[in-house]
Amino acid sequence: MTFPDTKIIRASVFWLLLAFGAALILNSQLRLTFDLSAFFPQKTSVTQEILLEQLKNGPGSRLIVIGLKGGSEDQLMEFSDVMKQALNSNMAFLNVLNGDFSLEGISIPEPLKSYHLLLDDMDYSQKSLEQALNMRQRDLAFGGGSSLMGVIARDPFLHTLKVLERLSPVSNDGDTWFAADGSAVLLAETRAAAIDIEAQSQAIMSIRQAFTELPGSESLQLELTGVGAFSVELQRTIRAEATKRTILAIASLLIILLLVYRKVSLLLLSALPIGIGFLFGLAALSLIFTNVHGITLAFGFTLMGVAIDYPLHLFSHARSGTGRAAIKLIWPTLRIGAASTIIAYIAIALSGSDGLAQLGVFTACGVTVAALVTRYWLPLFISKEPLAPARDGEHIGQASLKFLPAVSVLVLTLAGAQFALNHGLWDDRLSSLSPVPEQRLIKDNLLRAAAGTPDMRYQLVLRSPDLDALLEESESVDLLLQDAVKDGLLKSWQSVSLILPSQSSQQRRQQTIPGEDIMHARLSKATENTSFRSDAFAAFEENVQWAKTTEPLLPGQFETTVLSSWLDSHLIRVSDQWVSLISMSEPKPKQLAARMETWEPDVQLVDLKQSSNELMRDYRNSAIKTVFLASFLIVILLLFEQKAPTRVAWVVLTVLTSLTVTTVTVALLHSGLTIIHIVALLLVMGLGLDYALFLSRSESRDEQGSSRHAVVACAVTTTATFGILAGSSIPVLKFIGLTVAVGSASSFVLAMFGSRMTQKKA
Amino acid sequence: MSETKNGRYGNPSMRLMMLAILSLYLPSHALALDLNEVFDNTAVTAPSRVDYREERHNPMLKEPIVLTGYLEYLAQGHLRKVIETPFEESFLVADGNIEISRDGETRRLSLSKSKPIRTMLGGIEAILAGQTDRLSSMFDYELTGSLSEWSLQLVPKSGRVSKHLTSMLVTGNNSTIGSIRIDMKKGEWSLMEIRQPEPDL
Repeated sequence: MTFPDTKIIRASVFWLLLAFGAALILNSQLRLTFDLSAFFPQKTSVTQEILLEQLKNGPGSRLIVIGLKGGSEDQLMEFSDVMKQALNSNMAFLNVLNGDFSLEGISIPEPLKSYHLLLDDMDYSQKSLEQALNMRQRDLAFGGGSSLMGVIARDPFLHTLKVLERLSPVSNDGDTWFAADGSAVLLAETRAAAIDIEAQSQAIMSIRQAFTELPGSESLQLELTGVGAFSVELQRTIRAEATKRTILAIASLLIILLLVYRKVSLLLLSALPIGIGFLFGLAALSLIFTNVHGITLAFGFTLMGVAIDYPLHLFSHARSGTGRAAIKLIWPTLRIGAASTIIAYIAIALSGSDGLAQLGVFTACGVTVAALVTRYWLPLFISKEPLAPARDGEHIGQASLKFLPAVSVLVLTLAGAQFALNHGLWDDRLSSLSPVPEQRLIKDNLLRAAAGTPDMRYQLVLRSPDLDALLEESESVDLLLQDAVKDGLLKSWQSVSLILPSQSSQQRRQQTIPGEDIMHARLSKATENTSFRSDAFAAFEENVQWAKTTEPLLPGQFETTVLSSWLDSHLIRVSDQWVSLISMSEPKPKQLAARMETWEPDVQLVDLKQSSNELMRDYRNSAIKTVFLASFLIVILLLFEQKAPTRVAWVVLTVLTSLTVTTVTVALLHSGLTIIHIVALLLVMGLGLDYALFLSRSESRDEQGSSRHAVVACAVTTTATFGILAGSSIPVLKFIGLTVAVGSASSFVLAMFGSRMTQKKA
Repeated sequence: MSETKNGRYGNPSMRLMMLAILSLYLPSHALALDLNEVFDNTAVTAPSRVDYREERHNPMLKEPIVLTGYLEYLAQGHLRKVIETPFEESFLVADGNIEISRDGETRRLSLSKSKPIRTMLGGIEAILAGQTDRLSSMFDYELTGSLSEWSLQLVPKSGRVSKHLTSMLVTGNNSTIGSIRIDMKKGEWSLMEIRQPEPDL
């Protein structure tokens, strides 16, 4: 029986203790979140902040669109009603609408119910009261209904209904909504934001539960769309797709490694650097950040893929010697490659957003640890006996580096790109990253069209540090918009003034309310000439006197009411500013913008689509700047470390050409580059540096063979595993997969063809 | 079991009870009148017009509102209710829409998707036109009385409709429909008395 080397035991104990420490940190500190908004940039304009706020919390994003299909129109109407009732009593939803606006069952929400008399200029004259009562008498003569009676008794002007109708973002003409394909449509506004996947998941479950409780639901079809529904649905799809592709990728990696190295023990050893790197990367994240984003782990593990190359270099070089001898030979090259990669990842950590910062820290830390494990622990496990007989060890070779292949490929690629890339290099549409299949989006549009939801693309924005000043400005803009509607510049609009007037307007309205005795006398006289009982409007009288003396309405009074989300979507706080968002229906943006130049309050017309494109462009530009800075630092590092300008120039040219080929190929195949492609190009840069540095080493023929062996193994495994991801239907996986697969293959080919060994006697 | 001298179940009160129980198992309209037979006598053909007087009762009112006017059956699916007193207003049901004209303004609602109103107005049209099948597709009904004096109780089949409309009671005689009473929720009800039809509008 032989005992392991004491060095192995000591090193193993050391690394295992460190790993145990990292695991302890994870156990106590790791808090995972799945808030995708962490990947939004930090420094943005106010307009972009408004966009992000809308994406995160806007009422449009909180709508789950429900489609019911498979029954007769009457049945579907009935079921639509039943589901509406069931879901309206569920706390997960703020409001569920299906178009049916019958007064039966209507309830006027607070604070509208109590404060409605302060929202508009009301006419309490004898004549106005008589007219109102006359009309209400005619309403009762037409149909009435118990709920209408309740509303009339408290509000004979039916003012609350008018306000509610103005607030409705959707068509509310009393008809149950039906889509063009015959589906009955409901809109369910969730209490939770769309990005709260867990809450959205609960809400979806409630909808499915209500659906299965419908009689004969097995013969009906339920369709759910909207941001929340897609997120929940995609979470499952993405998980399943990612698991499947990851298993396939790992299986192909293992098969290739087994074919190349023919030893199971090496397979296990190859997992050590990246495994321990992952553990340390995660521990570092847990210590630095309060919450760790789930998506950081997924991207981070992918970017750490470069670290799988480190043990392969070691194994290939150890074929003709011990692990310790091999690592001594390759460590300078491996170290410079790892250092370059780490610089690039640190650069990403310093750019843009919390999510990217985590990604950078995680990968930089993980790659560092993986390199150290490869250097100080792994070699101890490699057999002292050579894996293959040594040959020609005495010959020292000088790498002959040719610039022509890379230069010609670079020139050809750039020339080809001039002709081929007619759509531009960048794709700044936020929607390009959306993994929602087009068919589902078409269905979503079809269902939404039935409800007549407004186009949220254009909004008017007012800003002020003082809330009341903002509300006064909003009231002035309302007057200007009335003229704009008359002139056909837009069809309608909704501003915060509908439910939250300025303090001065509210106080002015309070002053116009008659005193108790006058009001009672007027109402009694008005009632005399109708069929109404004398006490029919006692509730109205009470409300009028309460409104006269109450404190004015403030935003806080909307909290926990069904109107809070409406207010939140029209009045938000960004930094130290109050922002009023005015949504519009059928605006003519150009003419409206021209008209607005003459307006006194400074109103801004915001195109949210354009803003989202600008946001992505700014984000991408900041990432590119960071990458350029990182590249510059890497070149300096290479020059300083290698002291061989020709070799550094060749390495830089090879990597640059490979990045260009990858960029152009991917831009052609994916119709433009997104921020995800740029992140993936960072990995390509790391891989390219690794291949080029190893293939430009001056070494013996044996070592040269080992280097080539290692680089072939690295390139084949990387290209194959990422090629599997490239076939995914999920944009993010597809983008990363294709970019890295093309990048790895082109880096390998360029480095191989650009380097040749010349022999000389030692 | 012992039997009485009148034989098994011979007690007269017992026999009456048995009969009453048995009658529960018979179809509601099998014993009494046939609705088709009633409608054969009362149905009006388009175009035609009947005058009405309608009382609308409501807990908010000290006295019922009394409306007078006429109903016009213009063609299949086209019905107009005109209020002449105490104010002027009209509702025209046509092409799946209802047009409400009040003080020179017309508001249009799509009737196809407003089931309660469609059911109520569709029921009235079916009664006037004598469309038994259409009526029974919307209501469970019970017809009682004789051909010379009958009454028809209608209860909406749809739960959605019955949230608004509790029931309708139609009465009539040999040749005409006499009245339509509509009972809504929370004590609200109306009684429409139909006057003689005037053929050939």
